[in-house]
Amino acid sequence: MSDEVIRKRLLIDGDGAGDDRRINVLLKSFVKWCHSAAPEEGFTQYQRMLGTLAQCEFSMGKTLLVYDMNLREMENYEKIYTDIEQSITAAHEKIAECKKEILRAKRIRKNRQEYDALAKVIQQHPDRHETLKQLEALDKELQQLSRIKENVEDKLELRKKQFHVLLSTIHELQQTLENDEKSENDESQDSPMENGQMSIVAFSLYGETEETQPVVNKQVELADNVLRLTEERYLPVPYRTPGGGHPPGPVEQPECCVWASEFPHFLLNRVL
Amino acid sequence: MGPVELLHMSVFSQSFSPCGRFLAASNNYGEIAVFSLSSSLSPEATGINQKPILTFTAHEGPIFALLSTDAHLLSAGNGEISAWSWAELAKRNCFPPLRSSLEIPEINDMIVNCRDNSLAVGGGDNNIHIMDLETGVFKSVLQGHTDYIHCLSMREREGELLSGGEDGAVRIWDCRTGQSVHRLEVYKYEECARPQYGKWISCLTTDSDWMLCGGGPSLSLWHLRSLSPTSIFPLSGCQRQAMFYQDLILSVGEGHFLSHCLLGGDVKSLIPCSPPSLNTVALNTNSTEHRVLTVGGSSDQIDVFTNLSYKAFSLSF
Repeated sequence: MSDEVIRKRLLIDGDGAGDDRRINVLLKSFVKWCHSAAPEEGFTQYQRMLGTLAQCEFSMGKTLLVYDMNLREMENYEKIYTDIEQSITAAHEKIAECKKEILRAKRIRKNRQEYDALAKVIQQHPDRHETLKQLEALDKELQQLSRIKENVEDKLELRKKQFHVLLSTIHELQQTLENDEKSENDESQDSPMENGQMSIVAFSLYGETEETQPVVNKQVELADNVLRLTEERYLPVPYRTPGGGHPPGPVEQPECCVWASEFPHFLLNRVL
Repeated sequence: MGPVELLHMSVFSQSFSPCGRFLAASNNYGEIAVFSLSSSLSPEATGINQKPILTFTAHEGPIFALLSTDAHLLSAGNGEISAWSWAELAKRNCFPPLRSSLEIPEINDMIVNCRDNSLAVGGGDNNIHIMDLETGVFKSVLQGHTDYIHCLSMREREGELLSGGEDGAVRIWDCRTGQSVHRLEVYKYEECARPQYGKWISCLTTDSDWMLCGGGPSLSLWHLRSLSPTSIFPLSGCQRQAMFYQDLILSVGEGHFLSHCLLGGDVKSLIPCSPPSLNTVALNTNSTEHRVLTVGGSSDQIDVFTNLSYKAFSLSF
């Protein structure tokens, strides 16, 4: 116990200077004053003692104030300490939040960059709309061309039929002439049936009911006209379809040309 | 290990333990060194903590591939595949390992297919051998490459295996049927090809949608669905390993730096490292408090990065 007291006193004022010394001096002077004889000296000593006492009181008052101040400072520091603790925890949380944010932002950035990389590759390919437009234009062209082809084919069919008509007419006429020759050669023979057949054929071909001879004349006339037209239009360039396609019915074509070129002389010879 | 041997040492591959506290690295002398990350990353770490806690000779020749499964460390070089128990390695014991039954010349890469618990091993005989991890039996062989295989990668979502080899072709195999689904000849694409280096593919990695491949041709990012190259990275030198990390691409190769690249084709930064040429880069994803990146190459130093932007310290063999 006294150890503690001694330790504390040594801590506070170990060197013997200051307050402790003053109190000791006061005590000593008090004892001396009690033992002193002279009154004026006693008075000065008394005054001096009062002064010392006042000093001691003053110093004690100061110490008390300092003690109060220290207590209040301690409280202040405690408060600041708790404030700082709180802000530290708040900062920790913010840091954790920001770290999550940064991860999210990095993921977003990665996605954006992947998108950009793919977009770069895609840009190298031609635009879809343009390609579609080109396709449409090509489609239209195709349709147009196929229409033209159809028209030309129809025309070709028509001409073929016309030529067929011509050839069958010519053939019939030839037959008729031969029959006439034959009937002329043996006059006894009469072939009304053939003429009748001829007229039926003529009717079926031309829709006219007339006598054999005028029918034959008409046939010759018609054939002549058709031949002339054929000569004018088709002879120089025999049977060419647009597009350089193969004309159908190759057997007919050379025959037609051959007939067309040889026929006038043949027919004229016969008729005249 | 004399100073001359240390000078000529090359670290070929690394692997982190499943708990994330240890790093195993292998070199060209056939040794594996196990480093303790927790002690080397602790604030009171000294020089002694940057040395391995255990070094042992695993194979006679160089070890090219290291792989960690849940409990074992698989190592392969020229010949058999050995499996070491991580629990024993952590306790600084190297028990005799389990060895595979088949000898495959020059195994360059191994990869685990988690779907059917099998190991794909790419080797110098131009084939990929598939081994079942439970039984150790070699199930099948994927044939198709015309030259030895450098690297393997797993496309988790579709269950496909990618392999790149010396013949310049990246082949995509379907794991179940064992057939080659696609074949990409990277050197035939003008923008990637670098004929002065050759046509071999030495690094391959994928995250199911995108693929990075490089080697002789420049490192390029491919979109796997359309099989078209989207970005080419202007890195000089041949890249030996690359990986995707968050929004970056990290790659190492010739040259003493680790390159950070963006997916768009820009090289963001080149971080200098101590080995003059780098062979391997590994990121510890198994542990949150020891989240480090380590690079190793043609030196006995393995650089450790705690922050991706600069080297923190080096571990040495």
